[in-house]
Amino acid sequence: MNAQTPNPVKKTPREINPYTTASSKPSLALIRKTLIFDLCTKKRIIISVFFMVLVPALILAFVPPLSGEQHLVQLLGFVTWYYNFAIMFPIIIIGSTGPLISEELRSGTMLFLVSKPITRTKIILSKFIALLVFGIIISFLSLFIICLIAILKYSFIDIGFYLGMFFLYGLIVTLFFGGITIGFSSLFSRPRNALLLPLALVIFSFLVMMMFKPLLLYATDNWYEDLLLYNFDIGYHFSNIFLWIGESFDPEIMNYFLEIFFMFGIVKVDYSSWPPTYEKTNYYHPVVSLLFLILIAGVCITIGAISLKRRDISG
Amino acid sequence: MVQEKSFIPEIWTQELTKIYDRGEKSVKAVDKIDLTMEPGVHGFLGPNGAGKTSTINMLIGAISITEGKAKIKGEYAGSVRARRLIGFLPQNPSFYDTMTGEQYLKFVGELGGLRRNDAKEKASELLGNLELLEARNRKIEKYSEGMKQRIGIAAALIHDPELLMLDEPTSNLDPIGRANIIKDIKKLSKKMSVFVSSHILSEIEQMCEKVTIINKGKIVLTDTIKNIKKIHSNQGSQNIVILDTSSNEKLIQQLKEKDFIANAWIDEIDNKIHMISKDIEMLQKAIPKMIIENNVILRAFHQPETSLQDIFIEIIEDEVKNE
Repeated sequence: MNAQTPNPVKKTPREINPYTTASSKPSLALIRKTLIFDLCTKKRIIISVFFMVLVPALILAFVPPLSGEQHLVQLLGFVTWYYNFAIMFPIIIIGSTGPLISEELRSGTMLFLVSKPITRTKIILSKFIALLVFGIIISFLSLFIICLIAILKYSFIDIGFYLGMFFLYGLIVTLFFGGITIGFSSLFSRPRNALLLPLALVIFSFLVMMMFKPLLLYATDNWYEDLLLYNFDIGYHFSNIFLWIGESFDPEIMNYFLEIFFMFGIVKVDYSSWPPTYEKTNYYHPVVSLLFLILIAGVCITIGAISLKRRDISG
Repeated sequence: MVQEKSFIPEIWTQELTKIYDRGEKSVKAVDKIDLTMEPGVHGFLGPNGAGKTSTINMLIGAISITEGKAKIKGEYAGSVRARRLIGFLPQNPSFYDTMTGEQYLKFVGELGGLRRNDAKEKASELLGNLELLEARNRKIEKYSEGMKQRIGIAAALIHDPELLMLDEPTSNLDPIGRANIIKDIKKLSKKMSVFVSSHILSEIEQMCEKVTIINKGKIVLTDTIKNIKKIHSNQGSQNIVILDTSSNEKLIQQLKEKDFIANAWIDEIDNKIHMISKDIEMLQKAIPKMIIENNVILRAFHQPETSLQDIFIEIIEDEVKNE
């Protein structure tokens, strides 16, 4: 065997190739590659936008116009909030994020990535940034097409309000669901497993909790409030943030969403008088709700990054 | 007193160990290996499961080091600085199949730290050098195995690494593909150091000056191929001589009776006489005499060179015996 050479200590700084001095380049390259080749494929964009536009377009096609000039949020606010941004958009984001890391682990391309001069934390963050851009593209494109159909059909007012409000809200939805899914994507090497929990969260928060909300509020002597269930109700926090964004555009926005907000714990209904009166619950300030969601997403990304850092990667 | 010039090895490891923790059963894949690679082409040999891939994966930072230290040109293995110095081709490289060859190389170049235009330029240059220029706009999923291996090598080279690490670069290739890859590696070895692992010894023999043999996670031998052959040929166990005449059956009986022949037999594959000689000079003198006396035609008489494969098998078998 070869004689052991003493631990080599570098005496003089190595002359680094001029190419390799820019450390931010690998991350940018990964963001670009993830966005163009993994996320923004023609097929994915067409399918995503189609499902995002489908129900609002059907409503625009079949719901007769109200008399006079109508606010677009009045007609499409509820469906855009619930169908688009509580169900369809999270599913698109989760479905697109799930394979971002786990597919690389499954197929063996992660071995190639980790052999390059980019840290694993930067790999996960680059992919997350690409996902945020993808979320922006899908939400903007869908909302733009919905608005286009709307103005072709009727003379709506305040199109920009509808577009701006939901676009901002879409960013938060992308941040939250993208964050938790990319965390799970780093934990599992099967894309299917990475999707399961975030999808279950969507179903639980926006379908199950919503259905059982009247029961929790009234039939159980208000367990929702007594047991502080709103703390864990992601649907409540999302509604709270949405209302905050909406009110910054139009202080009367709540009136268009009273029924749906009741289902998500934002307002209480008093049936002692007729017509029933609605009162805001104000469990949390919207900023707290926003910080809460960002914290969950951040924790998931951190757990994912730590897990990826510790993982032995082989072909 | 002459001061010794400071020497930074291409690869340096000290008691490098990898233990895979699999629940109750832990597997020691690499067991305290000390390795020093000097500039040049260094072969890393071992049977399947010997720990070659685990060692390489620790050196590139893909898997954690359980114990010990490893450095690449003075930088800690796995660090971003060390990875800048390495070009790596895994055993079974996976690609982003939906990308074309050119798109893939450009991406890899940028990932390696090249500016966009430089990556584009370098990608074209490498595609040309590795005869992939015509296929540059074709998706990688449509490439043959040989083309995929070449694009893998191009990807390892695009950021101008100082050390190329190739893990079984010829596995899954047909004979022509293998020959081409060996040719490419030989060409590259003039520009940079190459660390190549394989269990196909004839290929290593063609490419490398120095080899390290690893078995069951431990280094068995590190030396130049020339030295290894010299040492093992002198041990006498490999004095094999091959003889082919017009009547091998007639001669075999006579040969078996000679004192300087330890063993002689007619090989089932080539139908020639194979002998293990105790005294090669005596044999060389006796053969012409026997040919004339028996009135047979001599077709071949030679002593095959001891191959690295023979030595490797001998070493591994010795290891098994010593356990």
